[in-house]
Amino acid sequence: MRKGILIILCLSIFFLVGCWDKVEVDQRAFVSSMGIDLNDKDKMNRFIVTYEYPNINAIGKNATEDTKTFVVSTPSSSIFQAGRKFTTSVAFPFYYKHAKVVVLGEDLANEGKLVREIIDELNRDTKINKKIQILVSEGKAIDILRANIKQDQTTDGIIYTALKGTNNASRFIPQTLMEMIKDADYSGVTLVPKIAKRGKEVVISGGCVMKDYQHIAWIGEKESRSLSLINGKTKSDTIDVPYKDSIVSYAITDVSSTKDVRIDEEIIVDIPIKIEGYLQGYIEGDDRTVYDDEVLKDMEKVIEKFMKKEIERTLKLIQDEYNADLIGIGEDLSKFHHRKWNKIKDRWDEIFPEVKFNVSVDAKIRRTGLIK
Amino acid sequence: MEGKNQISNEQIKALLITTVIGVGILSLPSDVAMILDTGGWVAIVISGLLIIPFIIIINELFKMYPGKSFFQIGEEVINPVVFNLFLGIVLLYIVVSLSYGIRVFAEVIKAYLLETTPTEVIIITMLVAISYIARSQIEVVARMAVMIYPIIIGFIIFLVLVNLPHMDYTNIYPIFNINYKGIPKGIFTTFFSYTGYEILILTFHLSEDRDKSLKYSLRGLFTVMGIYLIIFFITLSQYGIFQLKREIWPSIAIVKEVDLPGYFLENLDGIVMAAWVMVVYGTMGPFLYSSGIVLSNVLKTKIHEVFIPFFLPIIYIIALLPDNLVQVDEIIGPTLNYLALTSIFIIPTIIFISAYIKRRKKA
Amino acid sequence: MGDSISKNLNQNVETLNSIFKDCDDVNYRFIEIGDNNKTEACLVFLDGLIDKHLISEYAIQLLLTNSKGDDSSIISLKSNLLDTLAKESIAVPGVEEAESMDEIVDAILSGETILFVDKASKALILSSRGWPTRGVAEPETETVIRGPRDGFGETLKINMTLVRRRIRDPGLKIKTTKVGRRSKTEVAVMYMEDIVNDKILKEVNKRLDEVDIDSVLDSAMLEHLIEDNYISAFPQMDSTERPDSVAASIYEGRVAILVDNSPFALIVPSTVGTLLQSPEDYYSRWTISTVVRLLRIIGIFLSALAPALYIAITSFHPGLIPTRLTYFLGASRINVPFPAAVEAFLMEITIELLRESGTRIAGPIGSTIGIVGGLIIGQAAVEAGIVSPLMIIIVAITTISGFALPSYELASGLRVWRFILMGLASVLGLYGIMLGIVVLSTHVARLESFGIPFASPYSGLGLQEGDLKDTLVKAPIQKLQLRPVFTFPKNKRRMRKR
Repeated sequence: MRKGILIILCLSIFFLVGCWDKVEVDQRAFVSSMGIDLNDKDKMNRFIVTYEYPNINAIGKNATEDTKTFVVSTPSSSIFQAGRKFTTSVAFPFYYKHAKVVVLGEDLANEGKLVREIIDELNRDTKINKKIQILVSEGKAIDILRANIKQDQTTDGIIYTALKGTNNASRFIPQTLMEMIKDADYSGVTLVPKIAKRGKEVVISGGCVMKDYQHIAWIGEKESRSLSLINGKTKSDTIDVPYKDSIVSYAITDVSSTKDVRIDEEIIVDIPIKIEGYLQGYIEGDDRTVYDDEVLKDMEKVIEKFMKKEIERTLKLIQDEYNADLIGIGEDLSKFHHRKWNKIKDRWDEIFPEVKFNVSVDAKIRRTGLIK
Repeated sequence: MEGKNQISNEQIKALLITTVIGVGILSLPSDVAMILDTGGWVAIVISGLLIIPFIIIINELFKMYPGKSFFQIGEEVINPVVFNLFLGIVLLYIVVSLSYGIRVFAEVIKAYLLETTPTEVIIITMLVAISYIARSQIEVVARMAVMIYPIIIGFIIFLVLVNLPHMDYTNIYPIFNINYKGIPKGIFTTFFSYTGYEILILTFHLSEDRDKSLKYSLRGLFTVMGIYLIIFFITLSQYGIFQLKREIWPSIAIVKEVDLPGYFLENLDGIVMAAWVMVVYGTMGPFLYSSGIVLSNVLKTKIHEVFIPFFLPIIYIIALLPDNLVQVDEIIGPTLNYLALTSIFIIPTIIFISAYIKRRKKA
Repeated sequence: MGDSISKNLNQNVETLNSIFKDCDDVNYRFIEIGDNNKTEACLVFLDGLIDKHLISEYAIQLLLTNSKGDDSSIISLKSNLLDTLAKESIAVPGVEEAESMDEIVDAILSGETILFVDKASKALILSSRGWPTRGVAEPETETVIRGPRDGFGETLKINMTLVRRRIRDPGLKIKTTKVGRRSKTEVAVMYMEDIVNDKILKEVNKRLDEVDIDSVLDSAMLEHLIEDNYISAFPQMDSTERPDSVAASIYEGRVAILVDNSPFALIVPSTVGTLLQSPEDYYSRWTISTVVRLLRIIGIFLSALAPALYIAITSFHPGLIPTRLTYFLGASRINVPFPAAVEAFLMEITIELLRESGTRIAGPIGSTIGIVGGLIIGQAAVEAGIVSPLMIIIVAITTISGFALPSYELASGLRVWRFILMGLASVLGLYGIMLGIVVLSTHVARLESFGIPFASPYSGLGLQEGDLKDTLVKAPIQKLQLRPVFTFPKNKRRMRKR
């Protein structure tokens, strides 16, 4: 009798407990991208938050529906508040673990304080992966995400896949949440890729310079390329350089660059950039053969000069016009010349424009392809 | 006979490592970075070295009275009433330590795995699981340690491998940025990450090969130190010093950062959490076991299993006392530190000194 | 009973008649010995248990013909008569003297023939066992591709012989006892005298002596009676049908227990390491054996954890798997009406039912048919949309990994724990699974097999000495020159250096 009661008690515990966190996987909505625009900064609902989540019914072999993703949007006072608001219109609770992309609207990017609040929210949440990609959009984020629907073919989203595919070019430099915070911590400035809508398509190119989490300037693709070369982030790209009376197409396979900071009376930074590549295209003809070391060396020199000019132009731009240490000189100093950095870090804004850069490019054409 | 009431040295080493590496490993990098920036590793190393003399003291104590358990030695060397008082303090230390550990553990599980499950449920289920191992004999506890130990090592290796592609090791610089004023405070913080080594007290007299026990214990200590250093450097290189100071539990968040879709490695924190549960089990199991042993020696009983259920409600209540995580660190933290200081450093030293004096008097 | 034998033949026959009342298979064959002073004699035996050919040709016939011999020696009515008979007139190889009725009754029931002679105070027991056996066949549960194929039968003597054939060392000792009050099952304890650890041997004998039960029908029952922890779901002794396994274990310093009427021998002590060893590992090359052994470890984890992990990930933590897999998981579960936990339990119970029915059909082969049939049913269920296809795959993988383990009992133990873990997963997700694993590991750490920690070598005993070489992986035989540590052998070296 007593044993019976004990057993019933034990079993009843099994029924009394709830499975608190149990939500079936097909009853969740997985947010894949988020967009945040400025609504009205004086009101409570200062953002317009947009979620994009895939249509589970449209994935897999037995796809029953066609629309690949849904996009919903609402004014809200914080990112995750929007998720709660959506319970009124979306059947399933949102799950943020698989969110891959956050797009900040242009008008929002102009408000440093609000951006910082957003970043804090993203940083604090346990579910957001800190490698989530951050982008700034030209115009409103909601337009970008809406336009995305037509193009979305992959489960992860076009934006994410395109960002991950920087193996193919360096027109933009992808930025993750963590990197962004790190840059801002060390030097106060960060570079975030720019996404824009061109006609019916969505284009990622160039970047947005943010100082203290506030947008101060756009930069274009060429400048992105230069910065990417300096930071050694280029994986492959092609540079077309005018040579004699045609154009040499030089494909880069590997870039290695360092920044040697010397402090005498002023700060001098040597940036030797070593580029490896192969000849992609020249011009067909019998008396212009490239299988000649002299010709190759000549081409290399032309390429080097071209690159150096472009890089120096970019450096001047960020140094004089934007005063943004996008190449991490401050970071370098804080790590390797710690004592000196401690003395000057408060005046970095004044000192940075005075830094002298010494760029040297060493391009090598290792191969010429299949023909001579 | 074959291992009846005997523990091999490998088991002692494994026991040391699994008991020491527990809840503290999560927040260690952040805590030490807050005080010493990138020079935090210095505090880790120095604290580790400071433990060495205490291990040696324990070893010497057992050498003086071969074959006797710690409790028997204590009663011989000091007035039994005083000794029981000491044991009372030790008991208090163990209970508070367990409450602290279990509370932090429950908070971590809630943050990463089960958001809405009530904290009470997590604590109760863990307590029930721990009491199973606490009710066993020391050989079983040692065997469990040997089984958990490769998981810890594997976890660390996994951490290193998985972070290698994206590591920015320049974040470690400046390495020798040592803020001399901060060192004492830093040592004080990291010192208590090494608590747990006192489990040796319960095992030395049962060791199979007494002469080599010291060597193995020290090896265990250095392994722990190495593990802490690796975690510190990895988290530092992934986050950079500023974010590291912000994160509460950098060691786990590290694995969340892994995103190599090409290798199908995403969202790996599940594996980490699974290993983490085992690590915590490996810490608290021996602790609860030792509480039973201590109480059984105070009350002069032969078995310790009976006492375990008495501790569970006490631990539960204390664990739920603080309102939030900050209170845990601010209220229980210092209390625990002082209790630890007394129980595992001062008391053995006193006993050792008394034993030494007695020896001298005899001779 | 327990009386002594009377000198009167008829009285003895009367006694036996009353003991064996209603046992119609007890036969009495009366003969007369001696030409002149015809002494009455009687052979008592159990028809069916004896080798009739042996008795008729080598006992009865010789007694009948020889009685024409020396009459004078027959006149002495002492036990000398029996002695003479035994030495001169009976050609049966095994002859003993019986002194009490108990011995005689036991002997008859064991298949011996009793020879009573009038006016003799003792009787002769002629060894005449011969009952129908199924011969030496290939063991059905442990087949190998390469290696010997003889397996144990139900006759103890034949089994002992099969082991003896592989150990031609006089150090191989065989001690028999009887277990079970009514079944009086013969049990043989076999060990290598100069290798085995005396304490373990003593413990084995002690436990066998302590068994007090009516009957022991199979070695499994004996196993449950003498093992350390009978409550646990896991076996603490090896059981095998293969004489080469038994021989190999004896060489390692372990003790083998053979039980009459059972084709399964018990080997003691055993550990997790030995439960995962199969004779095939030793007959194949070391590289593939290593891979297979590692595969078995994976098999253990899959067998116990797969459905539980599925439940945990689907219902609690979809964030723990890569994104593409999550979407795929969601897509595959769209129209399934049950939550994941119910689905998993349903499918697992179905598979268990199929296994049971497979066993009823025909032996282990029937099991396979059951599984395949189950997959077809599963396919139909998927088509109907009741379960998701991933669930079928997981259930199939789980069952197959269970079969990959050499020890059926270990796999059965894991089956039980699989359900426990599934239950924990349904309530607390991954945390529940980890709690279950941790409690399971503690339980395994606590188990002992005749004093040897069951979880060796993974839990410390033998780690340093390299026991892992033969459990986790399979090192080439040249590296296995010392015997494993967990048996504490007296003689450690089994192979000389080249």
